[in-house]
Amino acid sequence: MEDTSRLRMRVLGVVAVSLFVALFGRLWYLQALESERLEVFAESNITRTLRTQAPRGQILDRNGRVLVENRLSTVVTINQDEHVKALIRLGFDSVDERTEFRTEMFADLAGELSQSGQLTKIADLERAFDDQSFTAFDDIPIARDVDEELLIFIGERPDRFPGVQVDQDVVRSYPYGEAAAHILGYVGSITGGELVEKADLYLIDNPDTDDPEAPRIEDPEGKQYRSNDEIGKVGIEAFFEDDLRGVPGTREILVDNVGNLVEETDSKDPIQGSDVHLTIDIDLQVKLEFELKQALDQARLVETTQDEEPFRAPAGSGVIIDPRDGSVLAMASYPTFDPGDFIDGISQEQFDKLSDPLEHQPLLNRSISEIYPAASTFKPFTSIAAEVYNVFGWEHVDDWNVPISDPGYWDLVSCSVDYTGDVEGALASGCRKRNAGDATMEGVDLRHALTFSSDTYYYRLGEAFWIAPDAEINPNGIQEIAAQFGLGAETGIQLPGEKAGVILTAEQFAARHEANPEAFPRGEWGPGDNTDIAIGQGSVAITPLQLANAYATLANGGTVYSPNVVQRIVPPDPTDDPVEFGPRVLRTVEVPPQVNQQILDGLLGVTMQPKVNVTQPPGTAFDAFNQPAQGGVAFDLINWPVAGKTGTAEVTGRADNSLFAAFGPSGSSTWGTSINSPEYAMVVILEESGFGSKHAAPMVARMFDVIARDEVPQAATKDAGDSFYEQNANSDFAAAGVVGEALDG
Amino acid sequence: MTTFRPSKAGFNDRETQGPLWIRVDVSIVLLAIGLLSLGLIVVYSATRGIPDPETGAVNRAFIERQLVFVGAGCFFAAGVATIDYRKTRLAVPFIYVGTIALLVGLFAFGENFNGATSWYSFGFVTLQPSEFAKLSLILALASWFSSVQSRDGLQLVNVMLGLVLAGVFAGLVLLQPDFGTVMVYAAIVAGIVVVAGVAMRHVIAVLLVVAVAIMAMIQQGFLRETQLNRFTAFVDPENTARYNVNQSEIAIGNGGLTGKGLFQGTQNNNSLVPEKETDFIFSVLGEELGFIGGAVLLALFGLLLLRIWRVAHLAEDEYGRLICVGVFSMFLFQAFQSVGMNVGMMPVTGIPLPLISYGGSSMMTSLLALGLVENVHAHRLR
Repeated sequence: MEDTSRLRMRVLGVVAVSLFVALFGRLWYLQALESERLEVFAESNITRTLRTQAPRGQILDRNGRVLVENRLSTVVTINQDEHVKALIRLGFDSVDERTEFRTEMFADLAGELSQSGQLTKIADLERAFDDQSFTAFDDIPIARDVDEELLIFIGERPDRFPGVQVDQDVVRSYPYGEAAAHILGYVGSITGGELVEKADLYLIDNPDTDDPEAPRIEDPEGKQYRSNDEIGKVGIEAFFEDDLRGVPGTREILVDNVGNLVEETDSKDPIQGSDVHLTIDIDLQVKLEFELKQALDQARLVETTQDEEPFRAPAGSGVIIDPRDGSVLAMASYPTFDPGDFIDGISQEQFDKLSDPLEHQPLLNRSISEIYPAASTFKPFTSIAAEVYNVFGWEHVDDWNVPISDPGYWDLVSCSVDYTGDVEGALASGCRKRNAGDATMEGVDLRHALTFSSDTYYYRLGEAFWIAPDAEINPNGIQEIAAQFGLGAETGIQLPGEKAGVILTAEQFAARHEANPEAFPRGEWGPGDNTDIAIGQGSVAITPLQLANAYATLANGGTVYSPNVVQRIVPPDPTDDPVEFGPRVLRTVEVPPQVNQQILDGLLGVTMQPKVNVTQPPGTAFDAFNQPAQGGVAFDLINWPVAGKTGTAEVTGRADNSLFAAFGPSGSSTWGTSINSPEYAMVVILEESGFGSKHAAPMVARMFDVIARDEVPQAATKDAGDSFYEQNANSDFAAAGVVGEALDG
Repeated sequence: MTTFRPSKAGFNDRETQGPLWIRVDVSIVLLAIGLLSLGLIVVYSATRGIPDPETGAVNRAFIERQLVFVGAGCFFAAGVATIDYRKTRLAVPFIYVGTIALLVGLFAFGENFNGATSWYSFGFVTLQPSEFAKLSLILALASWFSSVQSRDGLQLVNVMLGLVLAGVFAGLVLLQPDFGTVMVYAAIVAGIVVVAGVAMRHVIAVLLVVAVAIMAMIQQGFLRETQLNRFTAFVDPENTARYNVNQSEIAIGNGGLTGKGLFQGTQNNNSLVPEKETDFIFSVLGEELGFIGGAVLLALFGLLLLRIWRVAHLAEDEYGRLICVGVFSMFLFQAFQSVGMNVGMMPVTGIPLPLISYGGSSMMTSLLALGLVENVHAHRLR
């Protein structure tokens, strides 16, 4: 062989050697230097972590009856991203082709769904598919609780229904339907904002590093939120979100290159959330809601004269509290809604309707989120303030036990102009304050002033607070005593959206004017403003719950509780101790005992047959508790005495709000009954329904009647049939009739 | 009378005397057996599938066919090695023309798989003429260049004629289209041309022509889009075709130094690397047998190439030498390109790893090529 040939062969050899060196080098790089990193890729290539939503905790009533539970639901979903990718895989390269396919698929799908009994329009499916509230990666629900045959049919045909999936999920279930809707609240998909808000929850320090600057990592045992997770929106569902939410489970699965499950390697079962036990008694709750609706329906039937505003009775609230510990036993708001409508998300249209003021905001929990004038139900607190701040007996003000004569009006002593003989002028200037209906009364002391609701008596007290020199009487005395009873401040109930309300002082009144002179043209507080708050009007704005809680304090002798709607939180693990809320005492109010007795006697007189002075007319709620013919009930007041106060709140341009606040059983020896162990305090406010004695008081009487006789009808669950209200109504009327006859006989 | 034959360095009597089975290069046989064994194990792992959970049954269809291919390949290779290559040289033009006929026939009777019409299908078995054309090309070029060689080296016109010989095959295969196989042809041409003694300036001229031709083909859209994608994927990591290489790299990296163990590769078992029994077979080996397995494979190839190189070096005539150089170039390029593609060094082109990848035509061609080398080895000094 020639030398050149030899040389050329060597060239070949050198090329070969260098190529092999390169291969070795690259192989070493991948398998020795980069191996650790690539192994991670290999691992993640085949493992998928799937999250399984944990069932939320249940919500139960005080007797352990389930108010909110979970049920399995099958759901057909479509995923835009998967749908489009699948179509591209199937060879639909252009948008037009895909749109065409989709139109046909929706027609196909709507047909199949409709045939299986779920009437579905093509437009419904298109709307769901285009819904902007979902991202391209969300599984958008398009049909729920579809029959099993169809589920299998759809699941087995990924080429015919690309991107359409069949899944099971857990949804909320409400055995008692709409009952307690405002308390329970509802759940919905987490919003972007909520997701951000919750992002810092359930983070722990990274255990793999000591660096304090290292970002915190998600707690593997935590309850991290992902988009599309369920979250409580209002009510207990929102307030106890952290407890009710379970720990999501995870499933580590191995998949092949097309995403088929090969093997499940590791799984962590989801842990159900904690159960929340309410203080609510569902029987009482259902009864209260029923009576609230009834009372409003009845008020609406009243024919009013032309001069009067019509009784539209659109809305109302009722609250029952146990004065012994501040437990809320029932709390109703009307109009109401069905939390079941929120399963699967609610349409914007429907949601808007539920929030529309013109529809009276069914979503609004009036018991805690609406403020009302307290009207005459406020008078006990004015009375206490008058005693505490020594208004009784000051100058022209008689002591509480001195009967005065009520001419039906009070002329402010602070008015400099003498309007004697000029009634019109006196009224126009605000110097003369009148009783409702110009009623005149004789022998009015504190007790009678409450029993017969003498405004004049309280105008006098209210003015005195304001005109007395500072040194002698606290000008803010009424506001301060009301505040001690928790009026005009949040009660701290375990529910979101509670309003504080307000009972303005002169300073606040002026500040409000200064901040916004256009909305509040008047800034100077006058004696007339003080007379207004003395009768619970004007600058008194409270929630029904506050009023009920204040009456509970009257009933229990001065203990102010932060009302509980939740008794305890019970974790899913029986070895974990439940969280008990127990009574939450806020403060104790010192009520001078003598005045307290007068107030109790006065409030008892409201419902009782007059006894002390039989020449007196009956109390304002006498009919409600004694006259079935007048729309009341024949109430066993001797064995279950009720102390109460009617209220009729004036609202500009509308009919009066009808109020009644009461507690019982709570008697006094004055009234010949020594039973005094109040277990129930109750407030009812019916908007635009006229006198408190006419509609609110009878409603309270009906409620206390079934309570006193221990005949609260058992609330029916939805499964028991649609005639739930009917049954309820019948049993109730029948029972009332029996008692009525017995007393008549 | 016995004639004294001077003993050449590296030759002993055993290698030059006696029957054929004694005169073959045993190293090549042993190295081939080593590679074939390794290949069969890895192909089995790549094709057995997931064992049936109840019966433990696996898919043996692929490995059984591969065993048949290996058996047949060895048989024919022994046949090829037997008859002195010089005696069959007259048949080379006929083999060349016959190959053209087979390649042209594809356009009428060929089967299309994965977008390329490269196969004749006979029901139970398919035949890929472009594979066998490699051998045909080696013989044709070796014959041509050895006959036109002169003291002054090769004349340009003869070089060009040699390129035309190769160009006909390349053109026909490009029409299938199968760019990868054409690259193997190019490697064979390059090796033979270099060793045959073409002037450097001619090499450069040829390279320029080839470069211009490739650019022209791309311009004309001659390369299908997918092929271009695959080719550019090497340059552009964002390209979707990068997926194949990514998965292969992950598999090989996943193997680490000692590998995940046979049948234990997750990338393999989950079919994450496409074409893993053919073009990406090295990823399976890399994942399951690790760097050690890969190094053994490369070492076996390296030694095999060394032995082929040695046979070329010692060949009695230029024809025999160029045959060996052609085979050398073919093996070198295919091994480098195939492993290089698996480790992400080279663009994605469908080139099997000789003696390893699943596939009858490739296996037969590789074994026949070794038969040719053994032929050259056995028939020198005769």
